[in-house]
Amino acid sequence: MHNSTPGRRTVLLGSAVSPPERSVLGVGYREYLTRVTTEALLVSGLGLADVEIGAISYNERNVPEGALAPVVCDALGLVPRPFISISQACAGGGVCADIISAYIESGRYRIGIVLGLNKPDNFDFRDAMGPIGNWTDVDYMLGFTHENYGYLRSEAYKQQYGYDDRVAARWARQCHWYARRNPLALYSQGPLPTEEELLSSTPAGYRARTATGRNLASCLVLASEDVAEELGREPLFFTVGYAHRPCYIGNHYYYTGHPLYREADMSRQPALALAARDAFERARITVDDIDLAQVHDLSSYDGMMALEAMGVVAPGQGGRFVLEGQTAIDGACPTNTDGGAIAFGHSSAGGDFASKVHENFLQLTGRAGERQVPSARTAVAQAYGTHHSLDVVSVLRRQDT
Amino acid sequence: MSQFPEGVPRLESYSTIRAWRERLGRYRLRGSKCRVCGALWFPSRMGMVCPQCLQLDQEDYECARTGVVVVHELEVMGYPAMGYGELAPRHICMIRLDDGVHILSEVTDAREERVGPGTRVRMVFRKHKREETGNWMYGYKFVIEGQ
Repeated sequence: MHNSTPGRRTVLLGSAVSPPERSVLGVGYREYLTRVTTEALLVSGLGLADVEIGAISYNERNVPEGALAPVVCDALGLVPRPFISISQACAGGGVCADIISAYIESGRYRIGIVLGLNKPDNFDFRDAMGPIGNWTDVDYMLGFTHENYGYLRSEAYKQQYGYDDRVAARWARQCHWYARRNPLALYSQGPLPTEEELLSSTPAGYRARTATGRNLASCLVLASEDVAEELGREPLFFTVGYAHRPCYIGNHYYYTGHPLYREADMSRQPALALAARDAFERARITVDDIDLAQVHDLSSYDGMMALEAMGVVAPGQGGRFVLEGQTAIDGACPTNTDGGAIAFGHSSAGGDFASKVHENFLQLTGRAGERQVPSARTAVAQAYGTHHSLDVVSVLRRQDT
Repeated sequence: MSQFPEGVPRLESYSTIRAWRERLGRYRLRGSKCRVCGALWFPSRMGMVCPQCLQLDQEDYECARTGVVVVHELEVMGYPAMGYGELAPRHICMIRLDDGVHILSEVTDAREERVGPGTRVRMVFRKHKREETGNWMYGYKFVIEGQ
């Protein structure tokens, strides 16, 4: 784990995500990223000339170019400045953010951007996404995809704690409630799905309780705190932690490589717990400081497991927390106020982390409209990649008064 | 066969050489055992580090071929893996083998109501699907014990 970082701290100055479009066929990925970068810089009060370093998270199968960093660096006119590309599944944005943050805190750079790209119209979804993160020799080659991993994980959670799909339906309905108040969400309009629709045992019902894919480009503008001071902006301090878990899902049982994993099974997320512990310690917060959370709910149960691993609720209590309405805007921990992967949309490698940080940015700057959590000061965002073989947790907090 | 009448190019995820090289894991449940601490691993960690003791000393190990279902999913999502459309819905299970190793597999030749947590199963060797190269993919599945 990281040592605590003395001295300079990282702040989030601005962010942007692309609007909800199921298809952006007429837009190339270079333009797509350029749009969102210029928008985020405008929000931050900076320009491209101020950017000293960049990083991009993407799924390497999104684009045929094998090394995306030079391509994007060129598209943004940033040549010859340093740029990093990372393909590390849905949580890769968190790794990019951690690297840029470390550069800033080391004093080497003052201002950096973190980009994300998910544009499935560039590739064959079925074959490109099915094996992601698997140990393909013995699972994808035998017909098991990472969607199977997710489904089994949900079943394990339900079985372990005695829940049924009513809790998933309740979670999904709450996400849709938030999404109807978020113009950036994929499901920002239309009536809320009915209880009957959400509880259906058909494939349509299953999909209504799980994530919906979307295109997304994202940009976070990170800087050292003195930049915020120069701009006369209230600093929003930003911290990231991350940890890994074995890729093969059979190794999620009683893995002996770390003490915290030895009693775990698929229904518990020890890497997420380690990532949260690291992020909270370095941000100098406790779980009691959290005012709202964005979690990675590829299924509703994933969201509950995330709240448990971060310590918001005890193991096994996530379902009850949802049934009591504690994830609602007036609950103990408003959760997925952007609509989550279920109703905001699942933007995979390039967007899942950044879109959650963007929502926290809107919440902490009082720009979340009808879904605004009153007096929010500390917000966490969590994403996982390749079925929790990578877990990322970030903290965004306003300055102590 | 693929669920599509025409060939489906899978440029990144399938390689005849890789499938051949790693066949024993799929044919015989061959994993590995750490010679230093005795930890059992599937998939095989031959040539890799043991996470328990951090030593580089693995030997081949054939996992137990019987076990028990610990988590079960009847795959009804509507988008099965390529090449498995005609076999849907499949019983996809996490299985704890009798030596403690956990593996992901399919329980085949079974009615829906007979598979669930606690079901005893044994490994069988089955034909899976034809790959785009024309090769058949073979590997393990499980059936209910005593069947």
